[in-house]
Amino acid sequence: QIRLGQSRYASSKPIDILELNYAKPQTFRIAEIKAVGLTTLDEIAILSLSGLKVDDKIEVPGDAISNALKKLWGQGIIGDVKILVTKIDGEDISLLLDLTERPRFSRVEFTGMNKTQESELRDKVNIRGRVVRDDVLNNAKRNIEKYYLDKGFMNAEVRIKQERDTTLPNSVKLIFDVEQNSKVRINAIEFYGNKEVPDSKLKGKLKKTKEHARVSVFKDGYSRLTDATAEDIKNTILYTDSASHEDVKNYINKNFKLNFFNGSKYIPKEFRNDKDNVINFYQSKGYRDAKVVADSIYNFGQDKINIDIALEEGQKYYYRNITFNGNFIHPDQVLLAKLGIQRGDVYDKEKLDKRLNYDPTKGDDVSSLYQNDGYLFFSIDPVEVNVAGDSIDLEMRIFEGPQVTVNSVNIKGNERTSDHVVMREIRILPGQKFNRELLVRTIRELSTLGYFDPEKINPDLRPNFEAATVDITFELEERPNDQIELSGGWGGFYGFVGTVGLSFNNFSIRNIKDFSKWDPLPVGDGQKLSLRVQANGRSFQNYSVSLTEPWFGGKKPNALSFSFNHSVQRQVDFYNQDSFGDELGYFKITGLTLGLAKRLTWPDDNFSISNSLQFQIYEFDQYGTSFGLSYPTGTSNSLTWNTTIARYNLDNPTYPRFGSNIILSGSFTPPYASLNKNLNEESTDQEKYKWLEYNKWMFDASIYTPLFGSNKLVASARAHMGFLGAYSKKIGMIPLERFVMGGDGMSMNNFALGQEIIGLRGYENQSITPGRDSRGSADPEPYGGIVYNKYVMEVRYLISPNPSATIFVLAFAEAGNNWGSYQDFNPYDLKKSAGAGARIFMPAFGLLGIDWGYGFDPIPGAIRPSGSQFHFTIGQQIR
Amino acid sequence: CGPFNKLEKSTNWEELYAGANKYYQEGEYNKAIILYDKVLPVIRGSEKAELADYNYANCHFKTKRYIEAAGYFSTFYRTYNRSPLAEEALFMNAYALYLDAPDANLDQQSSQEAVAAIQQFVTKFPASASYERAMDMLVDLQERFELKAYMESSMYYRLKDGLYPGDYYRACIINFQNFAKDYPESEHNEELAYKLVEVSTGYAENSAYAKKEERLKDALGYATSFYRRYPDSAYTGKVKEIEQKATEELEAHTDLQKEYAARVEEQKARALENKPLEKIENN
Repeated sequence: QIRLGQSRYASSKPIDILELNYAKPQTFRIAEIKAVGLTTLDEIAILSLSGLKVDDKIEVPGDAISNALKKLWGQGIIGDVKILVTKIDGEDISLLLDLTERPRFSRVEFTGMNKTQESELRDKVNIRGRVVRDDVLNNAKRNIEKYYLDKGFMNAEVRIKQERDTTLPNSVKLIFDVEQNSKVRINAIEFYGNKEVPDSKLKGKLKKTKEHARVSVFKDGYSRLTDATAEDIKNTILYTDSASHEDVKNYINKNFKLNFFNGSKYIPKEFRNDKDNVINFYQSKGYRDAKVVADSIYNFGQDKINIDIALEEGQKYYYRNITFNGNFIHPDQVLLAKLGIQRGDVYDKEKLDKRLNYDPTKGDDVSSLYQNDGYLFFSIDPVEVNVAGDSIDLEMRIFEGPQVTVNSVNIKGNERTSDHVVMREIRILPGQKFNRELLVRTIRELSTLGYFDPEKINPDLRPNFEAATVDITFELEERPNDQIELSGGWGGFYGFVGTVGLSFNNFSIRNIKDFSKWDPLPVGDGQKLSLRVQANGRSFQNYSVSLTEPWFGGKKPNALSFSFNHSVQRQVDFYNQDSFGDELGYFKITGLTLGLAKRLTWPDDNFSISNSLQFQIYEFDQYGTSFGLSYPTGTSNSLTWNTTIARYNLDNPTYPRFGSNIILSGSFTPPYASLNKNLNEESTDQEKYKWLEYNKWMFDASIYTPLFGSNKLVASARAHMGFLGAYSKKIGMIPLERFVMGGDGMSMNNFALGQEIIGLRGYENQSITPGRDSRGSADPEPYGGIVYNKYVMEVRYLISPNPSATIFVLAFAEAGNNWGSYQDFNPYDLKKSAGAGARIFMPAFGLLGIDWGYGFDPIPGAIRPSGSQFHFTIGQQIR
Repeated sequence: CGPFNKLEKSTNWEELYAGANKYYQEGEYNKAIILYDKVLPVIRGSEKAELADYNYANCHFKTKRYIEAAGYFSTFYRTYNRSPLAEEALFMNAYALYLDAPDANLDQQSSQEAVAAIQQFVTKFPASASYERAMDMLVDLQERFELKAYMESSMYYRLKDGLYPGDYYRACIINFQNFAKDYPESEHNEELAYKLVEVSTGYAENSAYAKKEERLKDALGYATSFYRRYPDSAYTGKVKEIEQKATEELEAHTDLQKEYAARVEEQKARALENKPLEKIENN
């Protein structure tokens, strides 16, 4: 044994420094330090890595030595290391690093997989340059196996080959040879011990562990036929046993498994979660003691497994007495009423939790009584004070705490968007009593901004109990919000058909001069710049630019917008493809709009009002008669004032689950006819329509509500209507700005300038439009309706909430019609249709959709129903 | 195929290492990064590794990948803290973070990291030639935090003229005082102290009867502390004006309270005299 200070004993033989067992640490000076055992590594480099140097004062035992060991090991390049003491001479110590080198992995190769998997695995298995050791290899192998397991390849085999790397001394080339084998699917899931809940219900609770899709009814029918004896056939024909509801369900369950959207992979982590889901479900039905007693997973054929789950349901419990304790502010009756649970109700832990702490559907729970009034520290703990038979007595132990005031509000994570753009939207402010409802509302409104990932907005509350204050920080994560709309195609004799649209939703005029802020355009001030070009060969073009500042003046959310729009439509000669163009005439509209939209605080603060002034020039060249004008060539102007009142409180713009959106708008032109005495009913169309005179009223309403408390299944109802009016008989109804109805409702596919396009699925574009068939006739009826109604019912189901690609499917029933005069207007005479569709929302492209609809009624002039129609849409269709 | 592409495919480590250094010297940092990527894991532990690691970090710095550069410089410092390049590496770590720090109107989390890195540098190497530069960076960042807080205060002040004046008046009162606590040396404090008098008076004026007295007194209190802290301020005149207004308001309010109390007394007295007619009791 070596003792301190008795250095003469220490000089003879090197001793491992870790074996020195000193009574107390002593400080030495490093007199000499060397490294031995190196073949490819460099002594100076190793000493440098160790962090030890001659003349260093170190404590033995002490941090310096253990740090040195840690650092050397941390490099992962050595096989073993010992620090030896070769000599102790008074204060001086001589150290020797005894290293063992091991071969290192110079190259790692993967075989038996595709390029994507290889590059993903390369990131997961990052062992290049590390020493060859069993644990490193096993770890790598486990990672690879886990990677395949998560993809459903349960039987993937990983073989490791090691080869000498001839290009570098003491190094090894490593090859992972993977045999994926076939994907393992779950064939069947069997539940045992469930008496109260049917298998199918429980299988539904296994969210990520699903049986493989199968439709075996044909196979079953075939085998029944082939296996049938004459007796069976006779029985089948002569006696028809009425199949019970349960029989049918069982048969369906056995032979159909329409599980095309969900995978049937077995992923252990998800399976564990799913078992919890099953138990949670039982608990929500009063089976407080339900548990999974056993589960087993076994092979079924080559690439399938079966899963058995054994359950113990236990007894069903009910509430008996509910008492409150510790509440001083609100009396028991108030709390009990808020709780909404009564004596005799089924004991549902999940619902109890929701009603006590947070009910996401309305936010109207026991905690809201307190937490909307500053009592941030409020907590309520339900304690089962007595369980007698199937009855449970609950005591609610309440802590009310102090009334908390907000001290500061901050944001974090806004890497592109300026502070004030976000902060001005925040509803909960310093000086207010803490209010959970305002907090939730702020989160909702920040997600509506679109600059941040809605699923990741997180308020971080830092309360201070002593001072009764709270600091709130909203954690945000920016997401790209600019939209590019690109669509194109080659449409027969039209030639190129396409749209290029760019929307920059977080534009900054202020940063235009600073090129370092361009990404790809100046960003950060929440302004919106849209540019759009649509073209359909030479027959239709539309150019538009608009710029919006949502907080004009910086004090109030008054959105100032400016836009310019120019459209051209040219006549197409269907018979002679070579000669379409200017010589056949055109219709052009050029317009400028200036608008100001205000948020209102009355009747409530979801209301907004907007006013705009628009100037438009309509130019016809041999085109007027198409609209029902008596002259083919000329110019009309319009100056329109529009006022729109809207109420918007949808919870999420891409997939609304709750809330409504109501818009009422009125547009007016000045009454030229009353100003101009020379105008009368006998005036020519040229005079009558030199300045357009009309008024137009539009109403659009939509509401959304979740079905069965689900946050995926949503019902929506919409109503739309529009009315065109005239001030005087002198002019009458103008032939422009009318409604055209039918089809997808996209302006791009309709090429209907100077008109309001209304979609109606299940019918062809524009097919429900008065005056449609009189285009080009001698005494044309004006094209388009002056009053339309449309009603839509939709049920939507969210398949993927992923914000980078939100996908949902929908089923709809809708009805609408479009009338050419108020005498014909009959709101009960509607064209009906029904169908289904899907939508995908990607932040860069906006909303893309496909619908199939069946029109039950004939279009005007036809006898047979419109029938089956497909519609493709880009962007949100308002109507 | 250029010489670089040929080199990129090479498995000769010596050649790759020499090539990486060559491109580094020539300022072709992107190419150097690609080659260093290949060669670094292999030369780890050799005498070549130290300089190569430093160059690798510097390549990222030169190509303006500041976050990565900071990470590599920091790893370099931790690995080779006895190296002659260690001081430079720790400075470069701080400098890269500093250059990456965003404008005051954006999230300042990376600026906070830069501050931590600069502080680490100046504590470790107080005698460094770059000490002054580091301190300048520190001052600049702290001014940025202050500007951010001031912009926040200004925003609340602006929004008090918006849709919810009451809420924002109150927000201003709390926020301005927090600013003074967080940045006691700031030159904006004088202006905010004046504005505090203004917003607290505005808040009091728009308050309900029951809260008015207390809030007016608060406002007058802010005025008094303004005079004490800024005896010869350019804002004194304005503060005096507001104070005058608040005092008058308070007097009017006190008169109103007296009148109210008198009426209540009168009612009571009348009730006592003429009990059966009026049923007003302790109001």
